[in-house]
Amino acid sequence: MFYPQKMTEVEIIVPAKDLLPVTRALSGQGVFSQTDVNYLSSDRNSAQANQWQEKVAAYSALERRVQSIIQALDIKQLPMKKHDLADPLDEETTKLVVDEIESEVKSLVEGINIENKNIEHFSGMLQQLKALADVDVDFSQMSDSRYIHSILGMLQHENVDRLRTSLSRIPFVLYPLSQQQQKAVIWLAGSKANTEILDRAARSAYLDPFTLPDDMNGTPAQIIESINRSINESKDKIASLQAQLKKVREAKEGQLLDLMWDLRGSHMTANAIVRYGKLKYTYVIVGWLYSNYLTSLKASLRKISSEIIIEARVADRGKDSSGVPTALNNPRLFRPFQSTVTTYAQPKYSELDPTPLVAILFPLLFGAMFGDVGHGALIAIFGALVMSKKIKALKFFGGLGPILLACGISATIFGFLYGSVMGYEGTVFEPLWLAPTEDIMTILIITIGAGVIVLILGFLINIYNLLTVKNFAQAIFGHNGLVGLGLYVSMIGWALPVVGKIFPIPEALSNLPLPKNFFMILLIVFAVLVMFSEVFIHLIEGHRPLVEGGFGIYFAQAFFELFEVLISFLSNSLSFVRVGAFAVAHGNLAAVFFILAKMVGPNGGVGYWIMYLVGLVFIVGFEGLIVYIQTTRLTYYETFGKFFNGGGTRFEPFTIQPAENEI
Amino acid sequence: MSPNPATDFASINARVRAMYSTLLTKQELINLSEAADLDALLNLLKHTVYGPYLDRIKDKELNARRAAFLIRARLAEASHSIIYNSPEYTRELLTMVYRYHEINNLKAVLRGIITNSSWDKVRFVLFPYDGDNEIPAKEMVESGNVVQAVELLKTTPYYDTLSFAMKRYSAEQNLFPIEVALDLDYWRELWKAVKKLPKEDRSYAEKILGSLLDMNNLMWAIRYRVYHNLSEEEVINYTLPFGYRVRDEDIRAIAAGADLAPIVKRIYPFLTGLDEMLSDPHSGLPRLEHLLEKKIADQCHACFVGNPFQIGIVLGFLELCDMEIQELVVLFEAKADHLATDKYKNYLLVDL
Repeated sequence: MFYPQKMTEVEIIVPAKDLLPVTRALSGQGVFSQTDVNYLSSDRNSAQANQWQEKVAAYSALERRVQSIIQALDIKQLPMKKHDLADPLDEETTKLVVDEIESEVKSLVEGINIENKNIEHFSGMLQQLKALADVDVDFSQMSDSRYIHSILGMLQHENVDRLRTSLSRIPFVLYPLSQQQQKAVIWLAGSKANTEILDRAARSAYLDPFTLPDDMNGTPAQIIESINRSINESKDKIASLQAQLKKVREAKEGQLLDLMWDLRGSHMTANAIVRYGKLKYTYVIVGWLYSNYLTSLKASLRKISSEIIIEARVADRGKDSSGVPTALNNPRLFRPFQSTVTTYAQPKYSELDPTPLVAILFPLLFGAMFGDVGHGALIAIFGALVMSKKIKALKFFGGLGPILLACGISATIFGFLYGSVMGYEGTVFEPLWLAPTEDIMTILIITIGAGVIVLILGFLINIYNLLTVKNFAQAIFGHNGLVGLGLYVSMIGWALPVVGKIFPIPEALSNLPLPKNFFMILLIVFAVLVMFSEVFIHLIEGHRPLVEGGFGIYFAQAFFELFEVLISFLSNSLSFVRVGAFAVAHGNLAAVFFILAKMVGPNGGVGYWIMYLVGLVFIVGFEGLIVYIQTTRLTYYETFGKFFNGGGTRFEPFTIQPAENEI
Repeated sequence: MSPNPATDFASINARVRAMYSTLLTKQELINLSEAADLDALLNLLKHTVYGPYLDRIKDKELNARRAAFLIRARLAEASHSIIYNSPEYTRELLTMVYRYHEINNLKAVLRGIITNSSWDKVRFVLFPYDGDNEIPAKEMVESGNVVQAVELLKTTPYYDTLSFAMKRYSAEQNLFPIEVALDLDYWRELWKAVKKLPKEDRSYAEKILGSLLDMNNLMWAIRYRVYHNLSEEEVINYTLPFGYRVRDEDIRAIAAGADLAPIVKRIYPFLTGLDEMLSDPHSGLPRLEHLLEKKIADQCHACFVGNPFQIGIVLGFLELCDMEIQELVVLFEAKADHLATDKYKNYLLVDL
C-alpha cells in the first residue's frame, strides 16, 4: 500500500489467428496498460497493416452517423445493458444497416427541416412586409411596369450607402422602407433602359429580392394573409412528419443503442490492434501488467493457444523506472484521498505513495481547525449524503463525499476534545482536553510542534525515496536530505530554550540533558554542510567542475541559499500555527454570532434563532471552506513540498468495452 | 475610469518588446533560405524560437504543410497572451485582429468542401485556433456541402453576412461572392473597432491597420477591374469607402476605368517606378503589393521607436509575426519543391 502497484512489462507474440481472443483477454480486468508499438511493424504500409487503420476510420464514421441518427430521433441515451462483443462488427454489413435506418430517418428529418425553413422564410417575409402593410399598392403591378424597372428586397444595412454610390452614374430612386437590426428593406427603381446596371448593382450589393410565390399576389395586406396560411400548412406538415419519426424511434431505439455500443466496442478493438506491432504472421503486444496478475494472464492466454509467447520483466523501483506507469494501490478506506494526491501530481513508480499519510493527516488537520461536535457532525452528514448519490444537486461534489465524511468525523472528535458543541464553548460539557479559546498559547505551541513532527516525517520519507532510487548524493546532501534534516533539527533544538523564555514550552523539552551549546554547534556544522552541499553532490555524482563560476560567486550564492533554506524551514514550521489559530477563531466566530443574535433578539425570540442560523450557515459553509483550503495548503505546500516530486505516468487500463459515459 | 496609457501599457509593452526581440533577424532568414532542402531548413529553424513548435510532432511526420501549421501556433499563442494582457479598451480591436485568421480558416474550409478534400488535408492549412475557434471546421468539412456547412455557423457572427451571400452562391455555385462578403464585413467591423479607440491609440491603429486595409482595398479594386473585368458598380460594391490613405474617390476612379498610375501615385507619393510597374498591371500588380507589404513592415518596426505606451507596438508586433510566418511558409514550399532562389526570392520581404 505504501508503493504504487508492482508492475511487470509484458511482451506477447500472438499468431494472427488468435488476435481477437487475446485482445479480449487483455481487456476488461483493468490490469493491463497497452504501449504503442506500431513502429515495430515490419511493413507499416502493407495492405494488412492498413486494414485495421481503415477499420478504425470506418467504425469512427459509422459511429458518428449512428450518433447523428440517435440525436435526430431524440433518443435518450439510457444506461445500456453491457454485453460481450464476440468479434468486431463487419463494416460492410453494418454500413448497410446504418444506410437503411439513416435514409428512413433522413428523409423525415429533411422534410421537417424544409418545412422549418419555409416557416423561417415566411416569417422573415412577414417581418419585412409588416413595414409595408399600410401600402395599398399591388406588387405585381409594380413589377409589370412598362418604363420602370424596380426591385424590392432586403440587404445588409451597411451596404445601402455603397449601393447608392455604385449607381451614381445613372438616374435611380432608392427608398429604405424599413430597418431591423442590421437588415434594411429597400425599394430600388430606375429606367427600364438601365435594367442591367440596376440588377448588377443590386446583386453585387447582396440585395436579396423578395420573391413571392406565384399565388401571393395583391397588396401587402393580402400577401400577409397568404403567408400566414402557408405557415400554418407547414406547421401541420411538421406535426405529421414528427409523428412518423416517433414511430421510427419506437421501432429502432433498442437496435440503435445496441449498434452504438457494438460500434464503439469494435472501434476500440481496432484502435488497440493498430497499436500492436505487426510482423509477417504474428502480432507483438507490449504493455504493463499488475505483477500479481501475471500468472492468471499466462493461464488465460495458454487456454487460447499454446503458440502464444509471453516475455515478462518485473520493473524494479530504481532510478530507471521513469517510464513505468503508476497505479495507486491503497486500501478502500484510503482510496478517496488518492484524488487529493493525483491533483497535486501523479506519484512516480519509484516513490512512496503519499496517500496513506494524506488519509490520516488531512482529516486530522481539518478536525483540529474545525473542532466542534455539531458542526463536524453536519459536515459528516453532508459527506454521507454526497456519497449516497441520492441528491442530484450534490453531484457537483463528486468524489469529495468520503473526504468530507472523514473530515466531519475528525472535527466531531476534536469537538469533544475542545468541549465545543454548535458554537457553545464549554457550556454543554467540559472539554476532554483543552479549550482553544481559553488556552490560546498552548494550542498554538502544540500545533507548531505537530507541524515540526510532520515536517520531520516529510524529510524522512524524502530520504527514503532517494535511497530507494540510489540517489545517495541528494539523500545525504540535498536540502531536504540528511543534511537538511540535521540543520532543521538543530535549528529547532537551538530555538527551544530561546522560545521557552517567551512562550510556555513543556519543561521536558526546554531542559533536555544535552551539553551546553550542543545544538548551536550542530547548527553551525549543518549550516556549513548546506552551504557546500552542491560541491559534495558534484563530488559524489562525478560532476566537474565542482564549483561553477568561481569561489567568490559560489560563496555569495551559497550564503543566500542557506539564508533561504533557513527562512523556508522557519516559515514551513510556523505555517502550522494556522491550525491552532483556526481552532481559536472557530470558537470566537461562533461567539460573535451569539452576540449578534442577542442584539437582534435579546429575549431569545425568532430574531435570535434566525441570526443563529445565519451564523451556522456562515460557519459551516464559509469557514468550513476556508479550513478545507488551509488543510489542502498545508498538505500540498508544507508536507508534499518536502518529499513528493510526482511526475509519474498514469496507468491507463486497456479496455475494448466502452464505459457508459462514453456513449 | 479613463484610460491611462502609461499604466495600461506598461506590462504589455515589456511583454511585446520581449516577443519582438525573438523575431528572426535578417541574417537568420538569409541562413534559412540558404538551407539545402526542407529538412535542413527545419533543422535550422529548430534552433530558433520556432523549435518548440516544430518539436510537437515527430521529425519523420514533418512536411512543408505540417511545419507551416505548427509554426502558426506561435502567432496563436502570442495573440492569446497579448489580448489577455492588454488594456481592456483595446481588447475588442485585438480580438478582431486575431479573428482575421478565422476568416481565412472559414475560406479554406469552404474551399476544402468545394474540392472534396478530407479533414486531414484541410486541417493543416488552417490557423491553429484550438479551443477558441468559433467555427466548427471539422464538422463543416465533413458535411461535404457548402449549404450545410454554412448552416453550422448559425451561432457565429458570420451567419448573417453569409446568409445573404449564400443566395448568390446557390445561384452561381461560386465561392467568390461568399469570400468577398466575408472580407468586406470583416474590415468594416475592424474599422469600427479602430474608431472606438482613444485618440492617441486610434492614430497608431489607423496607420497600421488602415495601411493594410488600403493595400487590400486597392488590390481588390484593381484586380476586379483588370483580372475579373467587373463593371463599375460591381467594383464599388465589392470595395470599401474608407482607409488610411485610400479615399473613396480613388476607388471610384479605378472602378470607372481611370488610368491607374496617377491614382496610385497620389495615394503613395513616396513610391517610385509606378508608371513602369502599372504599365502592365498583370505583371506589375504583384510587385506593387510586395512593395506595399514592405512599407507596412517598416511602419510596424517604426512603432517600436518613440512613445512606448500605445497600441502600435502591439499591432506592429502581431503583423510582423504574421509576416515572418508567411516568409517561412514561402521558404518551406520553395525548399520542398527544390526551387532555385531566383524563383522564390521575389515572394519574400527580406532581401536575399
